[in-house]
Amino acid sequence: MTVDDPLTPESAEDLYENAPCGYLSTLPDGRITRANQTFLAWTGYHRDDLVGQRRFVELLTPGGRIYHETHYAPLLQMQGTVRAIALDVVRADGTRMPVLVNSQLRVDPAGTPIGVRTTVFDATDRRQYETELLAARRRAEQATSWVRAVEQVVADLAAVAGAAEVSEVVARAGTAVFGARRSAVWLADAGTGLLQLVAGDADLPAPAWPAEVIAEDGLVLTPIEARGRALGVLVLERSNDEPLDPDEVSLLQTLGRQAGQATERALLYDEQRSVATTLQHSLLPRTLPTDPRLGLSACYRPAVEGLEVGGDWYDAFLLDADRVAVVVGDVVGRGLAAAAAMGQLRSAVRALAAVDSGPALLLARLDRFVDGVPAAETATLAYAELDLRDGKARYACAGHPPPVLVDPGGDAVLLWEGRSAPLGAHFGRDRAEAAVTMVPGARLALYTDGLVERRDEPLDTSIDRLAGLLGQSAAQPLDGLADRVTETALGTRRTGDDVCLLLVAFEV
Amino acid sequence: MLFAHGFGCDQNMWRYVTPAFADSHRIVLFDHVGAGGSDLAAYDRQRYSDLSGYADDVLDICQALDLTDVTFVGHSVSAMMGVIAATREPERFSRLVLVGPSPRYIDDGDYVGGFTTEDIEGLLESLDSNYLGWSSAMAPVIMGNADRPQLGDELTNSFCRTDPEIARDFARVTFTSDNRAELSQVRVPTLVLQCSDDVIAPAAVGAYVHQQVAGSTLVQLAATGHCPNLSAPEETVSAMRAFLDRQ
Repeated sequence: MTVDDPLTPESAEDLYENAPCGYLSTLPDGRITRANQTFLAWTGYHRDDLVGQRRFVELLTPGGRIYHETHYAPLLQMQGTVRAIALDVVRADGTRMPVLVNSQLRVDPAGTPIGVRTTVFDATDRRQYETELLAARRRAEQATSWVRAVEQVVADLAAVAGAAEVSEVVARAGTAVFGARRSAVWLADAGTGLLQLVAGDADLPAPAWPAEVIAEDGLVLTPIEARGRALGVLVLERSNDEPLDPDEVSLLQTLGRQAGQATERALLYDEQRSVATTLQHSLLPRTLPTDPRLGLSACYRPAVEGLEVGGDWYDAFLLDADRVAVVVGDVVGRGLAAAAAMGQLRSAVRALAAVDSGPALLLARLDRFVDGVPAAETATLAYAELDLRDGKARYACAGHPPPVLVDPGGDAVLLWEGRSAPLGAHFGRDRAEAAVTMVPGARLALYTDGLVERRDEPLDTSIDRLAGLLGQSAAQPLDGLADRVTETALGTRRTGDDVCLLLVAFEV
Repeated sequence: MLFAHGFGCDQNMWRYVTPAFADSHRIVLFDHVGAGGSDLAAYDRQRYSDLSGYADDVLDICQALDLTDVTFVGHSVSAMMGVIAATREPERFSRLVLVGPSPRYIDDGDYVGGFTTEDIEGLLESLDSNYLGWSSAMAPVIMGNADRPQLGDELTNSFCRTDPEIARDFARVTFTSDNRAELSQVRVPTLVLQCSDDVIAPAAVGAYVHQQVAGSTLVQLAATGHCPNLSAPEETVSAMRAFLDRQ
């Protein structure tokens, strides 16, 4: 039933032609058979341009045609109806009109498709709104992923120590987080203050100091600074040269600040490590005593990168024309303090060792010495005096792994006697010492625990393994032997500790 | 017969075709990852960064079901997956049926694929517009009920259920693919079904495929559009049957 205004009755034709939506009728293959006036007015086509001439798909943008063929048409054929498909119709003048489309398949009584009826709604405003919504959601998703990525960068930065490693992390973050094609980190040289490439792509142009995040010529420069001090520049290469949006600037500022803090910390670390390493090396003996009856081979390896230097040392010096003193020690702790304490102890051993006192008395004197040098307390050492006339050796170990005596035939024994507590921990009892005779060609090995300590086995086992290794090497020339034994003993193991080995041969 | 659906919908694409072969063949249907009832957790952007990852899926199915003497029927982009699979493991396949194949959609010099790079960006926009309403809230409902298909059926456009993010990736992979080089390596009897007025795979592209695949058969269908399996199943079936009888 319909109720018409008696003065202006609605005609079916007018309802169709001037409906508030576009109407299209097509054959099952999409060829247009009817189009209403609304559709023609919206799109600027003449009826004759369309009816019998064009298929609906041909009125769409190329991307829309693919969507039509891969989604719309199959759905219509399978479901008989599709609703609310978003497409763009290309008007007669070439402009695009966003539309929402509903279609219904017409079938004859036998179920065979005979046509399609389609309504078309102008969705210009709605599409604009949706595009903005989509952009807003993309930005929100982007921001979330950036936050996560920056968290990861902060964690990565915390896991590395030196400025070079920090710069590597920052350069990688530039490509991973910001999506740059290439990246590079330049830091101010400590001496000249000029920017130098530290990490990343060497082919990117050298940057000038940027005052803030700037984008030009396809490059984005971000200052790396800490507490207002410019430390370097992060250079990123982009695939486009569009202005940065505020979110991107904010991300890069965050990256620059995080990089700055980490770089400042890393530079300080590098400086300390470098001072400590220099000091440690300067305190080790430059030359060892020479005597035809004596052979010496030493190997010293500071702790590997990433950790501060330890306080291991070795020394060999003549007590008189016929007697040589050898010592290997280990100061507890790391860094500058340990290296300094090591230097003092080494000097003290040289000063306090005397021809007539012997190892036990030396340790007692060192106990009193470390009382005034807190950093040297609980240091351990192995000390031996070898008489080059007869091969008699006196030795003592203060909390230190046992020396290994190797005879020329390759038998290796651990010298477990002459033991007492680490320096400063002996509390007034007499220090122990022991004696052993080295036959001509015998060798004595003193070392620090970095050479033998392994997480996965007891220390005894490791020491036995070293003794075996030394036994096997008995026939090898002494020259460079300490290096070779150290190499073999450590294998591929990276140790976080200093490693020291001193081999003493009685040559007559 | 192993049927592979193309970009857009799911294995329902074959609903009017498979019954014709059910008596004579073992029918194997599947949904590509991201489509229909597939397990979305199986999606790996790296694996599916080009068509060979999808071709590996086809081979995985053959292996899991221990299929031999396979007639592979691939629609649209899946036709090229069949080509890749058949060049990798030719012993498994006895025939290829390529429905609306295109080895490359984007024009390249003298080669006319029918689209430009900008057109493909337009498709991605079109996908975004159409997934806007449910990409985050509705996707789990639409995609996550493989065990309760009736729920999916009640939803609009349920035969084209695809995960929006995966569909975006799949669209990019599909329409930027270039597998022209693989065509000449096909050693399996091949049928090319070419539609009339197919905007996705124009006649020139079908002719190119026919020319590159040695000994292939090209059948020009009266059916229009890109999905003769839906719009003209009888014609599609009879062309396929003629080919199967001959080979």
